[in-house]
Amino acid sequence: MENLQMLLSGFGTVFTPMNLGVCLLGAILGLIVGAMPGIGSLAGCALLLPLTYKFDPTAAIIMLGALYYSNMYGGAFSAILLNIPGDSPAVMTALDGYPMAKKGQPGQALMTANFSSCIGGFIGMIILTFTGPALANVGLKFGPAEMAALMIMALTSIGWLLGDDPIKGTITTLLGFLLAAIGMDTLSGSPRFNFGNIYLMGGISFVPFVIGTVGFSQVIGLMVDRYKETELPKDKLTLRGSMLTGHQFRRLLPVAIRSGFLGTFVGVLPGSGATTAAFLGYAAQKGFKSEEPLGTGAVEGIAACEAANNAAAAGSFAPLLALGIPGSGTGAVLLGGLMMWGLNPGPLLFTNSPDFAWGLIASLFIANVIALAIALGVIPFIVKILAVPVKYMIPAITVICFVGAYSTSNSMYGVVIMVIFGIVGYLFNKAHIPLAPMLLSFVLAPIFESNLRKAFIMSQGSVSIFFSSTLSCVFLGITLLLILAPTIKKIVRKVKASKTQA
Amino acid sequence: MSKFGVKQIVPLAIAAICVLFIYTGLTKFGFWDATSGPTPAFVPTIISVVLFVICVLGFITSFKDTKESKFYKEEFLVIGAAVLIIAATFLIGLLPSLAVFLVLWLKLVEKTPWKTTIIILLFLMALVIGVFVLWLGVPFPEGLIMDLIG
Amino acid sequence: MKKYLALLLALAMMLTLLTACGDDSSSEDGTFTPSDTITWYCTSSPGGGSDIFSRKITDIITVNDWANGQTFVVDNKTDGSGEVGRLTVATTKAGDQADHTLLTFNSGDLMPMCQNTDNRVENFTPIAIMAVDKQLLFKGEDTPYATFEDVLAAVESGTAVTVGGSKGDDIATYEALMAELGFSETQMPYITYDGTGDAITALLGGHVDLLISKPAAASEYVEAGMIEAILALSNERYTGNLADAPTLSEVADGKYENVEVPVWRGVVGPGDMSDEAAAYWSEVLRQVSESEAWQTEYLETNMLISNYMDLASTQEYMAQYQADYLASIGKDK
Repeated sequence: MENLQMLLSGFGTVFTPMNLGVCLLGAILGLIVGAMPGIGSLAGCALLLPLTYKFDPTAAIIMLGALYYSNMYGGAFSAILLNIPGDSPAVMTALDGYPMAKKGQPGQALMTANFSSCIGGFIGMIILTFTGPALANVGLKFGPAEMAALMIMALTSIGWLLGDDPIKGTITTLLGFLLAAIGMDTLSGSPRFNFGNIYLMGGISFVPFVIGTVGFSQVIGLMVDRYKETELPKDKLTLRGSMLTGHQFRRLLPVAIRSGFLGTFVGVLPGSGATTAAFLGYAAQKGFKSEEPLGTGAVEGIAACEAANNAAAAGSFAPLLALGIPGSGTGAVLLGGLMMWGLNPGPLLFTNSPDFAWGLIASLFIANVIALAIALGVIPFIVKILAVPVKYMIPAITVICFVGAYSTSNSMYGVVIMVIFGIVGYLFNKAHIPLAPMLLSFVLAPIFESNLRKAFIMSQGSVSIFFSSTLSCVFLGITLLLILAPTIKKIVRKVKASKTQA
Repeated sequence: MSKFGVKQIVPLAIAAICVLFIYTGLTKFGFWDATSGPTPAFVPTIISVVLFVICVLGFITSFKDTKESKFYKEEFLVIGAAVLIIAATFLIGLLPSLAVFLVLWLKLVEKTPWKTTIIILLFLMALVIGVFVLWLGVPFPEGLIMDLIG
Repeated sequence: MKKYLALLLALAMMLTLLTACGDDSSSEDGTFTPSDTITWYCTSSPGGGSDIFSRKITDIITVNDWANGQTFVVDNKTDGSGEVGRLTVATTKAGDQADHTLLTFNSGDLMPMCQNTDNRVENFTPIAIMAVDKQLLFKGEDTPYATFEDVLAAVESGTAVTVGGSKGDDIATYEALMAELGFSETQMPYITYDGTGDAITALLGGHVDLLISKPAAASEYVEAGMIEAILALSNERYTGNLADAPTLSEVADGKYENVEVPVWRGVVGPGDMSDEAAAYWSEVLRQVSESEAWQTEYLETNMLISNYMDLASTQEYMAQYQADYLASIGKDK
């Protein structure tokens, strides 16, 4: 209860007109930046950091918190409306969000995303409030062996997403693996598979890669259908037409809560991040009942990944505040921001400056609510994008793809990557090969590989390290089950069938 | 049996990439180091071998695949335009190239009236310049010509 | 469509020809004053150590108006692990552009550059070194060794003691330590983490035995009693809460020499930068290094040692550092 009291006093610090105004400003700016493909929350926070210099430390941090949160809200906008994920967790959102928007429910898709984000975020922060620094210690238990086992489990569960053709699905998953291997190898410090190219030495940059494979490839494909009238009924594009029905809300609620808990836990783990959380949330949803099949525009699909994503963001604040260890790139930027104000985030933050630490947590709560309010208010206007005829959207999205790809690293390399993978994605679409597994394994593979190799260095090349801890054994066991599940199901079905026949 | 097309080319191309990865990886790093275990090529080699096998499988089964995959001329127009934008960027810079692309595309491909063309151009340029250039300070390339003049 | 393209190309070519005859305005009277926007390249992403360094310096210059009212644009060129940015600066052509281009260049940049590319310090104009840093070895709560002598004893009796640390300069220091101790990489394996923060996490979780880190990153944890310094990788002991850590010559009855690999943060320009411009920027950076803001807001917060070097000493120092490094990785001819 002591924590709760501290939190309440934290609210006391935050509730001034000035702070709320700053929070509002941060939420609006974050939303705009988040909705722009190519910027993402990392670059968004970094680029907006100087803006906060003009305020006093508390106001500045509140603004950063609001920025951080609404950034993630914004990422869902372009994913759902244009099928261009602005950052990596949004890859998952697009899987169901874009089909749902196409089904004539763009407003509902966005609302689902925003409400789930808000619920996920709240769950994460409530857990953070009650466990406080203790939560961070859980993350510490995860060494390379445990992380590698967890990642194997995650990579195996990509299998749930493969769709009807397992061969094609496996091809893209493994291709993502290989593409991620290009570039600097951290453990040995030497470049690999760059084929003598200086640009490839740094690897394939993720954001242009995503904009290309998902966004630009789709623009190419749109050319054929551009004169087809896919006019949405006009009443769908208003606030009233965007409202979720009570039934839809009841569908999203349990999913978002479950995913929120899962996401918080994943967020606490060192170096796993929001993408892993969003993905595991979605994969876990495969194990539960959804009213429509996932991937066809199901409310549950959007809710599962958006809630996990935002919960993970809250969860990653645990190691950041308690230990001073940023769980993600964005966390690192926030850390930089804290240090700029002469605060030393670290094991002593809660003891030395409790006002500040709890003020920050309180401001995250408020930022979450304000970001939701702003996002909901924007929906009726932003869905109007869909009323623009496709033939005008093609050149417009092309321009946005180019600008976004350039802005990720301020170089034409990003643009070239974007166009090349746009063509690759286009060919894959023609060959009916799914793209999402490739993007996911591209994110997860490096985490898996570096932990696997770290574990081997520690054990001097012995496999025993993976079986010496309970945690990694549990993950490996689940992996085995995941691999065997389809076979077991088949056998069970056969047995049942033979029984009914007999 | 369907014709030889994209469904056959994609697995073959990926299989070729696998061979390339296996060869470069093993010649440069080897597979397993006696003291520190896996080399930088360890995981990529395993993945490449598996992927190669699956690609061969995919190639064989692809002939039974009856789903259509048709290509259209218009689609290549977008790809062509993208390549031209990149080329033009080196001459006149990215943003001017995109502006020129917008106008040419709307006028020549879509035969849009001037009024709509200008509205779309102004709206997008205001968005891009406002957010990316003025606010976020992204330094866009100015191209050879601007470099020489400026 | 073809017609338009042809027209466009023709126009472009004409312009190129016209402007190619343009002048190459450079300093006339032997001094240099900035006359254009200055591009400051930084080869790490926004928010990273190099980025904060670059932005702090440009902030101080702008606030004090030491650059003739010109603005700075910090350009984060992270392509190719930073090699593309470094190559871009190295090959910037002489003239106004070269005189208005600067690059943040650290020992952690020099090492991968020399190891993985043919780019060398000679392709740049070294301008200043602003600060240096050194490292220490730390133990965590789960580390079974109380002192560095215990570590030595354990390794000699055949136990592998794992060391965690960051990329780049931490590895160089580790290798220097191994060379001095005469241990192989199997006896004391090094595990490379993406950043010092990740390595600290590993030490706190008991996944590595020892941690190599710069004092600033570890200081908070020392204060909280979560980790403890057991060896100073420098020629003299640290002060404050790190004072208890002995240097290498103090342990094992003076059997070993001290190990110190300075980690520096510096600024360079393109190789073709004019001498006048180099002198100008060197002077500006001297002013920065002496400013109050630099001392308190940068050096103190990051626990760095101020170590400004002028043009001549920077050039000599960086060249020597590169020669030593090339020799250590066997790349000297």
